[in-house]
Amino acid sequence: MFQRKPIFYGGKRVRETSGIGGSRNAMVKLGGISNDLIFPPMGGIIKNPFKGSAKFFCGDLMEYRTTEDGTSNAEVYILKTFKVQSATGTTVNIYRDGFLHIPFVGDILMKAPETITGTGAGYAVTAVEKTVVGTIPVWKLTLATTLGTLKDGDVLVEAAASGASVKMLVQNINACAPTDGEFVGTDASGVGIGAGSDFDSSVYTYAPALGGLFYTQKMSPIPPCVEALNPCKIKGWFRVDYCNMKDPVAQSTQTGS
Amino acid sequence: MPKFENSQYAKLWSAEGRQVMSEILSTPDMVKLRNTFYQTRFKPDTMPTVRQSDGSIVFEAKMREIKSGSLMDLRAPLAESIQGEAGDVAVYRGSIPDLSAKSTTETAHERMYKQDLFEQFGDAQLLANFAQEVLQAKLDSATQTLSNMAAQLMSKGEIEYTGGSGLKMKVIKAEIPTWNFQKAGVKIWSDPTAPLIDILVKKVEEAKMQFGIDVPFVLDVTKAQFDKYFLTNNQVKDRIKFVYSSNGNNLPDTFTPTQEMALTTLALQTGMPKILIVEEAQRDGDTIVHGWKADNVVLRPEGWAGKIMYADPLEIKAYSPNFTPDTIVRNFTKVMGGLATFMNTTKANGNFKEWHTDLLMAAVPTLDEFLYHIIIDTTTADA
Repeated sequence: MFQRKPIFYGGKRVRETSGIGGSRNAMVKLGGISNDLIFPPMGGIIKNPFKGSAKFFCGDLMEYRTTEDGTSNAEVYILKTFKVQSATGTTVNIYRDGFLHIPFVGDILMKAPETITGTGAGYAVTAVEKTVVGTIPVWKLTLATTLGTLKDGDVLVEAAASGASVKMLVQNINACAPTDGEFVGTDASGVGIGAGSDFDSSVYTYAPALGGLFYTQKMSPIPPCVEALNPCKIKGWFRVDYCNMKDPVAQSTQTGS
Repeated sequence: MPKFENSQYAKLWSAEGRQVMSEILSTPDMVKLRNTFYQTRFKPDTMPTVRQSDGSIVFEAKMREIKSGSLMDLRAPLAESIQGEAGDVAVYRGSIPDLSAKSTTETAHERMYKQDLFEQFGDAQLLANFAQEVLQAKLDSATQTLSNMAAQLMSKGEIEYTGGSGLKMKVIKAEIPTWNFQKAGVKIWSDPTAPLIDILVKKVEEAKMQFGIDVPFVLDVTKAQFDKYFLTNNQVKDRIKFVYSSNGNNLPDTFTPTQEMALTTLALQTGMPKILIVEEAQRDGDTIVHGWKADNVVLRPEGWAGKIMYADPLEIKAYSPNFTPDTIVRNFTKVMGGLATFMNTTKANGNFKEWHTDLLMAAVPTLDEFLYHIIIDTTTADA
């Protein structure tokens, strides 16, 4: 999608509020020379970009998925997480603020399973509404089928497919985002090449950082099964260690496409 | 005895390395540009395209569509004329992809060995080896990549990048109108009885009427296609015999014409487009590939097919000394008229230093005559 300037010979009222400058750093500041901002060769095509105007943030966990030769046509997956505020049946309210991932119609979500390779019910979001519950801003999601009982603080993640017993889309956490990134595309995202690819939709290429040390409180919500992969022995810190972050079971079951 | 640290070779990776790199790159005995098919059809854009902050590098290719007039309307006096249509400006936009050649890394142990060599053979030998083994191979990668993309774009109207070991994706598609994708004519071109000259003359006439232009046309064919279609074609051979016998040279009944005989004869035929032979081939790992689609030939107005759009690699900005630690030293040298950039890096690896050389490029060919660019499938006859 290209930013064409639309032409309209009428009036348009606009109001926006924002702040400029300031910073909110998710990285743990340590002295000495660190070696985290290292990028893999070639990078990859982001296979699960946001379907509309949304951001990923510094400290977001990612998967850099390669094929057998370690580099060609690699893929990048963003671990998108959504924290439940409340839920009833097929209606789920997700916390909403400027530092959280935004859900879109078409996203297939599931409650993060107990273990990283565990399964759960995953179904598509059919409607998203910006609203409040009391004074708490939320995204009110309508799902195709109920995900089961959800309570305040549960974390939803993207599922690999839709169904009653499906796995997480992003299991092999081995990379992270060193900075925020903004998506503004509203068109369908291309897959690069092969079935489903074309010339017109957007294709996002990205080189994630292979190392990082972040404050968990400043990161996007982390489900317990992902926290279990954290090699850092200091409470409140999450370490992405380059080429080291790997659950051996997840590695063997995940395949590059 | 001059010291290795003061040698030209060692300077290549220093902050002043750009000067030494530029000298090597502009010496034809040290490095050459080969596989330059892209230069025969496309010329670089006058300025680099600006990289946007959202990650896109968007170029725009524009052409004015000429709506040529048609027959007048018979009317009664004082009656108003009917409103006509004006042609618009056809535009297609695309993104410039980022590419890199295979990198070269020199470890400290290799460097120690070179220091010993320097004491035996001197600076010139080290530079010559560097130019030949490191720089030349990367330049060949870049020129082959551009030639492959240029051949794809011309012969298919689109570029799908599957070469190399990196990402594979559909890159750009030119807005060539459907009418321009044509079939072979009354017979397929591999049929020796196909009236090739008549077919081409007719296609040129129809193109001029359709587009409302009267400019000379050219036909781009690969050498293999020319040999296969034209040198075995009966109509072409008959014309060659006629031209030769009218000059007093009688050719035998069965003969195989040379490329030169065919080209000179065909140039004499009224209405034939000028024939340009396409020679391109690239190496992809261990295999030889061709960007040009084997079944297709291209009929287009004479002149440049288009431009190479290019941008500076993001590394030049992101890795400027303002943002990088003093322990990593980089220099950048533009090459190929600014289309690509060499990056030499010195960094630490544990107890030792390490030296890298990379060639980075963000460039893509684009068509300037896409409304008049005709792609002919020589293997399918008209229905």
